[in-house]
Formats: sequence, structure tokens, C-alpha cells
Amino acid sequence: MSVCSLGFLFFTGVVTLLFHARPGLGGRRMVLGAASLFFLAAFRPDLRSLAALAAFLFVTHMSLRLAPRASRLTVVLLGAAVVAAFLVLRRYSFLQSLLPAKLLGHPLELVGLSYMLFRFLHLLVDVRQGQIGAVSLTSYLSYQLSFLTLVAGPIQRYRDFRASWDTLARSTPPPRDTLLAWDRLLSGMIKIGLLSTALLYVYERAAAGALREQPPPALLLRFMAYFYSYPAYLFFNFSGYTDIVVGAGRLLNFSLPENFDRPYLARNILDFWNRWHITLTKWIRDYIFMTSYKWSVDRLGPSPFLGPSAVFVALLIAGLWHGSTSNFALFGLVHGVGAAVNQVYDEILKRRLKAPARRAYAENAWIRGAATFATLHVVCFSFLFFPGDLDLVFARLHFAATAVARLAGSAG
Amino acid sequence: MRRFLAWVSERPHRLRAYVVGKAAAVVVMLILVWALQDKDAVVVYMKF
Repeated sequence: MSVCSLGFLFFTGVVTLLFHARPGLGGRRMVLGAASLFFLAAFRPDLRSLAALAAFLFVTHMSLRLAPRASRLTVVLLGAAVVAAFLVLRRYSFLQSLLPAKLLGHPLELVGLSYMLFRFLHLLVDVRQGQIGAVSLTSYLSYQLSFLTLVAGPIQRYRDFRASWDTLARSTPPPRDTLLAWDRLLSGMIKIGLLSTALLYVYERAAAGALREQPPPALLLRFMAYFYSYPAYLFFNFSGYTDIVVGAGRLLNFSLPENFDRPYLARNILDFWNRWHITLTKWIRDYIFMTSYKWSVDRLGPSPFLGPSAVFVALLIAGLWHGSTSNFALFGLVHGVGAAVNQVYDEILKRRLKAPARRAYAENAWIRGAATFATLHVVCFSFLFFPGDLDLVFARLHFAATAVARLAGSAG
Repeated sequence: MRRFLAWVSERPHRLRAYVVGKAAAVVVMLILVWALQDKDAVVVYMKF
């Protein structure tokens, strides 16, 4: 079921009515559980995919039960085995040279698997470290299969989930809050149904147009439409989705974390990731960046290269998580390099400028504007690699560069 | 937009009228999206 559909609007209305008709905690949990199962069934998964999903949830829950008593090596191996299963289930293209084609040619399609993996790994680490106690099977299934976060996040932490899950029985919010929750949900639908749809239409036309022989000014105009429309489409589509689920959550006494904060106004790549898909960034920071950084410092000692290297690895992995093809590796590479350069630049500033001068530098409106402009263009460039055939992306870049050269030549 | 929403939500009847109107507009939009989805003339793209 698309969250931007009449069906989802009706579904949310019915679930909200049933939810508030039941005052008790147990009854409300049952309503949400049934709603999540109905939502999952609406994707019409075949029996084999359902069995694979059940196996994934069973194995990961068993791992969580083992984690507090098992050795550190066992926990690492359990996590690695689940990641390996995820890579096979998502058919990552680099596995084609390592595994038999039959294994990767499976017909299984698991809705929301990437997000389930992140939620599981977070739980595995936190349960192992004793930050989270035992996780019952019903809590785990409710957490993993919640219709509010199943398809595309946000990646809610288990403790935050429990905070809402344990207080579902609190009284119905005042009418003003209910109306504002509906407003948020409806705004999300407008973002997806109207704005992102129109932008994707522009993108598709401009992408085709940027490959045709034409005078350089016309080609550059089409290239600019191609360059800017996809990032704008992605923002409206994904932030619209977040608006819908955050609004639906508020109607059901469920608090979900925010995922966007005006990302295209970021001053640098690290700032961009603090504003774009915020819950993913926090996950990557806590479980990849901090872990790899601490591990490196413990073994190699402090070094100015460790921070940029750890950031590079973290953002490369963030890129790879988005999809199974080399498109996403390139996306991650651009962001990894951008963030590493960002860190090195910060380090140089720290060494060359004293604190007051650094503050003045950071607050300078021209520098802020230039930094925001440069970051926006690096981000838009990285999103060129997100959709479609890479050969066509490079062909469009070549066409645009040739057009610029021809224009410069005729002007000279 | 935030300032507009703050103004709308100052009075309950104003907020109610705004959200009901917006809901009606969204329902019309979703009906159009659904109706145009399979037409060759208009391609409707929605990821979510």
C-alpha cells in the first residue's frame, strides 16, 4: 500500500478510530499490531517471501536472546551472518563474482529489510552492552513490523519505541494537536502526490533531453533541469513520506523522530548529513563511525588521519546501504571524500586560526553563502549517480562539458 | 509557512476549516492521481 493513497488515508482514519475507541494499553497494542499485519499483507508478499521474513525475524530474535551471555566473538559472528544474509537477500551486485548465480537469482522480496537490519544491529550492540534489557518476542515483532516505520524509516531506537509503546493508553490528545497531526500527514501527501511527482516528470524529460544533439545553450538548460530536479524530487518524496508517518504516529500517541531539517541549506557535507535522513546519520555515527574510530585509536594511537578516514568509511557504507548497485557506491564515495576533505579543512583552520578568528570566519555571511552553494552542488552531483544507467549519467556529463567548452570557445 | 500555520492554529474554528479544506483538496488530488495512473498521456510517478 502506498502511503500517499486514498487507501492509506482511509486506513489511518479507521486505525485512529479503533485505537481511541479502546482505552486500555493491551487493546491499543492489539489495534496497532493488527494494523501493522494488515499493512504488511497489503504488499501481497508471496508465501516464500513471508517464510523468509519469518525466518529473518526468528533468527535475529534468537540472536538477541543469546547476545548477553555469548562471547564477544560469537556476537560479532552473529551480526556478520545476518549482514551476509541481508546482502544475499538484497542481491548486491558485487556478490555476482563470489557466489553462484542460482543463490542470487532467488525470487524473495522482503519489504523494509534494510531498515529491519539497522534496527536489529542497534539492538544487538545495545543488548550486548547491557544498555537494553531482555527484548520479548512480541515487543521485537511490534518494533520491527510497525507500519509507521516498516517501509522507509525513520530508524527509531528501541528505547524511544518502548517509550511510546508503553504509554499508548494515555488520554486522547486535545483537538488542536489532532488537527495539527492531520495537517502534517496531509502536507506529506501533497509533497509526494503533487511536488515530487511533478519534479520526477521534469527529471525524466530533462534526462532524455540532455542526451540529444542540440545547440549548447538549450543543452545546458536541459542539463540544469536534470541536475537540480532529481535532488528536489528526492527531498519532497522522502520528507513527504516522513511527514505522513510522523503525522499518523501522532494520531496514535506514537512519537517518531524527525528525519529532515532543511538539508539543502547545509554548509558542508557533514552538516548535510546532520540534516538529511537524520536517523540514519545518527545510526551510522554511533555504530560505524564511533566503533571504527575507537578501534583505530586503540590500535594505532591518535593521528590526524583517523577522523577523516573513519568518516570516509562511514559515509561510503551509508551510500552502499542505499542500494545494491555500483550507483550507490559512487554516491557514497562522493560523500565520503567530501566529508573527509571537510574534516581536513576544519583541522587546517584550527591550526592556522585562533578561536575568535575562527568564529568570525564561520559567521562571515559571504563564506557561509559560498559554503552552502558549494555543498548544494556537491550533493546534487552525488545524486546524479542515484538513479538509472551509469553510462548514460557519464554521457550526459560529457555532453554538458562539451557544450560548456563550445560556448567558451565561441565566446573567446 | 510556519508563520501561516501559527496564525491558522490561533483559533480552533480556523484550524478546523483549514484542515478540512486541505483534506478535501488532498482527496481530490489522490483521486486524480489514481485515475491518471494508467493513462498514457500522463505518467504519474510515486515512490512511496
